[in-house]
Amino acid sequence: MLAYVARRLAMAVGTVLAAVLISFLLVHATDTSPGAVRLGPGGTPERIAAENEALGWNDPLHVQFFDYLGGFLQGDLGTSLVNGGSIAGDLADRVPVTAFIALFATILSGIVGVALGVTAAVRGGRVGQLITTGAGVALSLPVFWVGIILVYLLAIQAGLLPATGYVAFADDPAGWFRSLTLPVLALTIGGGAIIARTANAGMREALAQEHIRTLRAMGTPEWRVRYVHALRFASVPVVAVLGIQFIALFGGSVIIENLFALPGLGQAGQAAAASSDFPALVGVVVVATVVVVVINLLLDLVVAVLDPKVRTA
Amino acid sequence: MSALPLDAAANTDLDAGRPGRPGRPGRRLPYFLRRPGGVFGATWLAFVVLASLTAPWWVPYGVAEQDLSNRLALPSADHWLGTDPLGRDLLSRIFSAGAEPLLAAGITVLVAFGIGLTMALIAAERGPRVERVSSRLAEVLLALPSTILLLAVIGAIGVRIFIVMAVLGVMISAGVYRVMLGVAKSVRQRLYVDAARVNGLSSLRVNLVHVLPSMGTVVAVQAAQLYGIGLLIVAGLAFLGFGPAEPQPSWGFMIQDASSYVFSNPWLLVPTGVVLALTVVAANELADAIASRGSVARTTVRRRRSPARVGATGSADPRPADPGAVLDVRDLHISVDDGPALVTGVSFALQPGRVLGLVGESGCGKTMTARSLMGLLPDGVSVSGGSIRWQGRELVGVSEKDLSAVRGRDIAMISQEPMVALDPMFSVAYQLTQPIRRFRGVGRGEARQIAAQLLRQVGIVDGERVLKSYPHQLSGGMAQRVCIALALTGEPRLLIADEPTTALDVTVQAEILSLLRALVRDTGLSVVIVSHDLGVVADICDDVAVMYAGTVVEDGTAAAVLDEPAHPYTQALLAANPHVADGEPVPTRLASIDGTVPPPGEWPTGCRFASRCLFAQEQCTQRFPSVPAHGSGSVLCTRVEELSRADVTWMSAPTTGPAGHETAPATAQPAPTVGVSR
Amino acid sequence: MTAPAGAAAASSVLPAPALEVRDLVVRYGRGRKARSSPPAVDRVSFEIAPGETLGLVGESGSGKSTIGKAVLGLQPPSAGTVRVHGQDITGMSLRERSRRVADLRVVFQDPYSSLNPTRTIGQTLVEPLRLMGVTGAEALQRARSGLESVGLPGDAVDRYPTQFSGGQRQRIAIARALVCDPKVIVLDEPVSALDLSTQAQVLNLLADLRDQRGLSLLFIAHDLGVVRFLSQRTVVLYRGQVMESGPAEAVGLTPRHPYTLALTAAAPVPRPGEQAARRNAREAAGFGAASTASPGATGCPFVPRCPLSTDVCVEQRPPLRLIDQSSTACHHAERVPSL
Repeated sequence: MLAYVARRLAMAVGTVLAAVLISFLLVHATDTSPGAVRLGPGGTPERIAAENEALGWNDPLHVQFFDYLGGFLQGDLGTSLVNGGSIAGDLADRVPVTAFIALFATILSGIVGVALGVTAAVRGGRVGQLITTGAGVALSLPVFWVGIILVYLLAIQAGLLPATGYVAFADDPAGWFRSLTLPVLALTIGGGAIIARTANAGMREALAQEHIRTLRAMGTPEWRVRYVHALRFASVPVVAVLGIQFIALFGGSVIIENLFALPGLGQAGQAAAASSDFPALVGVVVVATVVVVVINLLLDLVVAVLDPKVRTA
Repeated sequence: MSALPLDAAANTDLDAGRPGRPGRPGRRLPYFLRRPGGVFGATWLAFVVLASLTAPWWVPYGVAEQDLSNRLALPSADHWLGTDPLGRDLLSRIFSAGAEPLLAAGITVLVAFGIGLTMALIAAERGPRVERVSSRLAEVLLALPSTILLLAVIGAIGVRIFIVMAVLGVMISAGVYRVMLGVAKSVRQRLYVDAARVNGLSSLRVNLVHVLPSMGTVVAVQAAQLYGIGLLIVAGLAFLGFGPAEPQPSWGFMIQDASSYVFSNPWLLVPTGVVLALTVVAANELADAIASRGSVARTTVRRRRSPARVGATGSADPRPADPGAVLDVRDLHISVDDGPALVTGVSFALQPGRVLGLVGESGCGKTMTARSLMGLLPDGVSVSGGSIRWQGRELVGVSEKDLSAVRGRDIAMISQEPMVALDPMFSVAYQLTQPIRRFRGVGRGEARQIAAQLLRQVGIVDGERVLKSYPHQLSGGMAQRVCIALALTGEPRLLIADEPTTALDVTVQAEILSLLRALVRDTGLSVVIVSHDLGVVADICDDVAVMYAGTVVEDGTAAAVLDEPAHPYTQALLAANPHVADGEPVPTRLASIDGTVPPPGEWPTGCRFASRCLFAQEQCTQRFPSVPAHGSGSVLCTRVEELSRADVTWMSAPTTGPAGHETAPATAQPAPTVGVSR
Repeated sequence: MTAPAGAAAASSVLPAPALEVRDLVVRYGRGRKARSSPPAVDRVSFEIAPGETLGLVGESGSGKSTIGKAVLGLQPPSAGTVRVHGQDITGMSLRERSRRVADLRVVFQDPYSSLNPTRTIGQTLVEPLRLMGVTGAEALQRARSGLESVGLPGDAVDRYPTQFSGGQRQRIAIARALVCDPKVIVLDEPVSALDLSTQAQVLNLLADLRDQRGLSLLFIAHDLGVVRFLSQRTVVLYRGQVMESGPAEAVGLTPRHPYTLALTAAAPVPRPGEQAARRNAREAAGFGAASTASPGATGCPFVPRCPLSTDVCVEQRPPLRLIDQSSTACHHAERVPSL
């Protein structure tokens, strides 16, 4: 168990390092330069070169990389080329917005998906068919399109929720919750569908296992066979997919934040990409990776608790 | 944006080629085009691709052509799908925009498979050391938030969508690698791969000829799913403004545009959104249809089986009811619902404290018979006639609820694969104490003591350690002992053992058989044991029923049946056994039986063994009743007296010549697919 | 360890054995962990004369299949040599082997996974021939006659494996081994997945082919009875080590090693009266349960289960020594009771 945790932890650190390295190399593959970005169209080649020199852009790559890494470990992600503000400070405000959306969406997807998937597997027949087909369609729908339709139905037609905008938790907790509801719902439709399919497949596989027959041969009550033994067996793949799902939903929030005008990480990423604000881009990637890695680490622990083969390894 | 994980639901259905016969290529529609989802998926994808690629030649309007008097119009004869805020024709714009996402998503798929599949094949071939490195790498790549990384790519190199999507392909290749590695490894474990390697096939040829084709289904499924994901991502990027610049249309940006008009003109959302959604749905439906191969639409539901025609007959059995029997099976018929019979007219009775063996080859209905005793037939198979009386109580046709009151308490079962018969997720202690508490109404602590005591009873010395273990930590013999202890938790009167030692080593088998014998002796338990091994039957059984093609051909006490077999099939089975008794010479050739057991549905009238029997004559093709033999037993052979008078046995009969035993040509004779026994 | 004396005597008569395995060691995995755990195959030696059948018997974990894999080149040995007709093939790649020593082939246990379901029988049979440079038409002709020699119709070449029963598939697998006209065939549990009646057919077929073609067979099985039927000599393995080897008749009837005795005594015979006597004899012999703790690093691996074991068995690994006709690795071979 301890070895397992240590291995997962090492993986997590490795992943963050890889994220830093990859995004760092990416921005250095650009055909423009930070000086040109900072000075805008008015910059002459000489001034751009001077600016680049000042920013350390011309230093050897490994020097820049370790400089950046050093800063990162102290919580310094540099300053924005566009507005000169602290990137770390800006992202610190934004991370909670995105993290809560992705987290709520993952949890809700898990609940809805498992309920539907298990129902489909247990009930079978027409109900099962309906659920699996519905899930197949739901996971194919573009999240931004679903989001707009939800806005149209729930905000415009029904007037239940605000269409867009963000209310800070400190200002108005109820408003905060209401402002996140539509984005979370939009993400849950696709995410829940994927979990439903995984849960359905896992549950069907579980119910076909030999040990389920042993339980039935022992006269074990059917609810216990299904919801204690089969569900436990099916839960391992579901948790694994939930982890991947969180990564995907975290990424998907870029689009959803754009649609719902939420001041999250994704919006920062979009703005940084559009303006080639290189330090901000690297910052967004690195922070996003850290959040994703932490959540996945937690899910790895859940898997270890669920699966004795992992625990006793 | 849909999640990146390659859908686990459509997982590794490897058995491409196993089910069904390989059809003649080109003659019939591929299997996935015989499902509605597949037809829809393939048709729509073909239509969209074709319409988009040929758009320049057929769209009614230019992409930038404005009809300012007709802005935000609903569908009309002029504009079939309506117009946008600048009065541009939506139909023309949608299909002019199609080529880019359709191609870009294709690039993602190609790159992802080019890297992921290749790496998977290499890792599967090179073994654990290479695999460890590449899997770690894949894990890191998988944990990166790919959409946000794509933004970094765009920030660095600008909106060069084909390159961006190729980078996405690199990131997704980790997911492809993971799925394909599992598939490739399991294909490589197949012996035909080893056989090809021994033949000296190069590693590339082994992969191309033997590994890849068997992965075809999974590759197709994943590729179709990934294509849908790629489409969603291209559209999502365009939605964020990272697409072709205006006035060039893109699906994503058209939806972004529509979102500003959702208050006043919701229709604008519909055409583009529906085309995009349908295209992704089509890709996924196609994937599902491809994945459907092999996974026969099986319902996991335990259907209430239709009540059997209870006691409809019984007259076919000449023997009188046995008053002392705990278990009395009469004229039992089991069949596939709406299908062939698997077991017909099986009757036997079991006295308390005795062991009955059901013996025969695979496909003879032994396992089905044993499972029917507890009402645990597989879905789609049910008892279609006859009666099973347990201590005078009829078990055929009773409700699932009443049956489950019998299971575990009166009748318990152990199965042939002890390693998978225990729940891998729970400790042995939990799995034992749970039924103990239910059956005996005791508390947690006492249940644990009883569990420890049961483990001692089944010969486990270090019970405490075993209680704390999980099934994967036990050896096969140990697991079978735990299974027996589990079966004993309800203090049953009858134990059904389905090939309990087949999966075990011979020395372990001897230990388990000794244990069962001790249990019978000490507790007065009755046992029905299913086995293909006549030695096992000789070792443990008091009575034996030899089954062939779904019916009992000979029964009686084990000593009588095995020492003086009367039915030619029993004689043949004994003669085919290479285990000679001490002092007897090893034969230079074994007596064998031509052909194979006919599968259910192809049983002849009259004697079902006739086609393989050395003594078959005209009279054997007629129906005939069984005749009493071995005291309390019977033999189902119309020539039995004749043969015994002439003192002819299978061993003494002239055998067929060498190497030409299987005279029956290899006519399509697929192994029976319904039987579960092995 | 020296070669079994009986085998050595045989080899002095026949200059080059068809297959010779000397001091074979196979360890799975690598690194410190693998070095500290006992090897899967531990210094195993045997040879097979031309036309001879050697049975390799043991239970799961005995290393018998690993030896088969090492001989075939599917598992690289950690030490030792494998020779075919005197030619050392230990380090040769599989491709090299097929080009230079085309007379070593294999029949596997599971007839369902040993044939590629996506390829016709013809394609499967022709594959090794084409690699040997046989032209298309001739290869197909040889495939047909190969099928006929195992009792199947030649036109089966156009069919797919799914159209055949288990026994028929095993015949096809045998035909695949035969088409190359090999001198040595490794049979890895060729009948254990088959039903009794089919098993008898396949065993008879193998016996016929061996006699007609003078094949040397390495017959790997867990079942002493089956081995006794087909083999002239038997090697009994336990935890990767040779316990006993000798003429099949002698090993089967008068075991000189307690493990051989345990194995023989545990195999039930289909005669209730006699089986009861055997069972009583076995129970009286007092073998330890198979699940008992694993043996120490030194000494005899069978110690924890052996009723005859003494201190010397724990301390010293017994060398193979010749008693009557068999060589046995037991300090107390003289005290092994008869059955």
